[in-house]
Amino acid sequence: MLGKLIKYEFKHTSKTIFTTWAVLAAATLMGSLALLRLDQGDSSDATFSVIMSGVMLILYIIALIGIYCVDFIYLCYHYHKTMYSSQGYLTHTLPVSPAATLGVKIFTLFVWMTVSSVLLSASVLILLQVGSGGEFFNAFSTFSWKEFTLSVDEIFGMSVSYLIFLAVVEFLLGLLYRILWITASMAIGQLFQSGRTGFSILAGFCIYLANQIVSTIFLAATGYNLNAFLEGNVRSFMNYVMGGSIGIGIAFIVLLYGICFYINKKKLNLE
Amino acid sequence: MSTLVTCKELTKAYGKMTALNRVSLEIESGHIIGLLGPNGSGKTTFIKLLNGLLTPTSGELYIKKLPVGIESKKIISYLPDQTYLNMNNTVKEVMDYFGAFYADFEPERAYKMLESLQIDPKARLKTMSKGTKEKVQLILVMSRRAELYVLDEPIAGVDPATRDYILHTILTNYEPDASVLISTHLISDIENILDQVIFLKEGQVCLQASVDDIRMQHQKSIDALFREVFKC
Repeated sequence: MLGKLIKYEFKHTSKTIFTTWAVLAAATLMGSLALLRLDQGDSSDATFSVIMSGVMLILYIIALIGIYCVDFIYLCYHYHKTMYSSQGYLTHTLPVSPAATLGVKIFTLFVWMTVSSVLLSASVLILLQVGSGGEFFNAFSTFSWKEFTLSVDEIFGMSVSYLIFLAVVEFLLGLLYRILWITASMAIGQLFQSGRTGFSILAGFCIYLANQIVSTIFLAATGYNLNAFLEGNVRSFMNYVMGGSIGIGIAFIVLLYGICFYINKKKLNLE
Repeated sequence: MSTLVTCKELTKAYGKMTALNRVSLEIESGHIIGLLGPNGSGKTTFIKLLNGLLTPTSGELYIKKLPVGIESKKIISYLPDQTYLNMNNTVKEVMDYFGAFYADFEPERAYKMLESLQIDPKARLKTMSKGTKEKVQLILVMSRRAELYVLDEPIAGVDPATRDYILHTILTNYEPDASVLISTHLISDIENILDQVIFLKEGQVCLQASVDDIRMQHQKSIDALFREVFKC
C-alpha cells in the first residue's frame, strides 16, 4: 500500500511540477542567450542589446525565485486540499494508516522540493558557465584541490568533505523543517471550527517565534564558545555552532511531525 | 445475519457542543437502514465516526468487532455529502485509484454503469454537471463489494430523475448480506426502500425499529412519523 500511495502522490503532483521545470529550462535558455548577447554585443545596437540582455537577466532571476515559490506553494496547497479539504474525505478513508498517509505526503513534498532546488542550482551553474565564456568549469581543471583543502582546514578547522556534508545536512534539514512548519500550522488551524486560515497563520507565526527563541538562546549560549573562536580554535567553534543548529533543526522536525501525526490521527476535523 | 456495527455510549463533543450523546446501537448485516433526523441531529457526525474521520470523545465503536481503523475501512464503502474526488482527473483515473486501494472494487461493474448512463470514462470530472459528478461518485462507491455502504445524503440537491437513478443503483448493486446505511431527511423519497430506521434527535437515538413494525404499531408511514416526532 505504501508503494501505491507514493506512486499516486507523485502522479497527482507531477504535472504542475514538470510544467514549472519546463519554465525553468526556458528561463535558463533565455538567461544564457542574454549573456551571450552581452558578450557578443556589436557596436551598431550595443545600447539596445545591453538593455535587452539586462531585462532578460532580470526576468531570469524573477523566474528562478518564482519557480521555487510556485513549487512550494502549489505542493502545500495540494497537501491542504487532499488532507483537510473535500479530497480529505477520500484520503482519510483509504485503508492505510494515518502514519503512512502523512509520511508519504511529506516525503513527496520533500523530494520534489529537493529536486527543484538541485535544478535551480544547476540552472545558475549553467549561466555562470555561459557568462564566463565557458571558463567557469575549466577553472576547476587547473584548480589546486590540495591548496583549497588546506585553506578550508585552516579557516574552518575541518575537511572540505566534512564541511560539504554539514552544509548538505543543514540544507536538507532546513527544507524538511520548512515543510513541517507549514503542515503543522495547517494541522493546528483545522482544529478550529471557523477562521481556519487565520488560526493556521497564527500557529505558523508561533512556531516561527518558538524556533527563533530557541535559536537565540542557543546563540547566546554560544557566546561562551566564541572565546574558542577568538583564541583560534575554529574547529571547536564550528562544530559547536553547526552541531547545535542541526540539533535544534532535528528537535523541531520531530516536534512538528509529532504535532501533525497526533492531530491527523486523533483530532481530524474535516470541513 | 451478523452484527456489523456496535456502538456503546458513543459520544462526540465539539468543545461545549455535544453532537452525539451516549448513542448505543447495533447494525446487523443484510438491511437497508435509514439514518433519519433533522439538520444538526448528529447524522453526519455518526457517519464520520464510522469512517474514522472523527475520533469519539468517549464510548466504544466497533465494526465487525474491530475498532475503527485500516480493517474497517476495507469493508466500508463511504459516500460523503460532498464531492470528494480530484476534479482534474478523468473518470478512468479515479477508477484506477479506487482499484489500486480497494481490493473489493470491481471496475467491470463500474464501466457497465457508466455505459448505461453514457458517461465517457475519459471525460474529466470538472467538465461534468453536479448531477453527473454525483452519479460517478455513487457508481464508484457501489462498485465495491463492501460489507457496509454508508451514504451521507445521497439524494440531496439532485433532480427527481437523478434521485430515482441513485435509488435504483443502490438497490441493484449491494450484496444481500451487506448493509446500506443511508442518511437523509428526504424520507418520502426513500422510505419504500428502507427496512429499518434510526431516528436521531439532538444527538441521541430516539427510535430504532424495522419499517414494518413502525407501520404496524403506529399505523403511519415513516415520513408521517418523522414529522410527528420532529415537529417544530
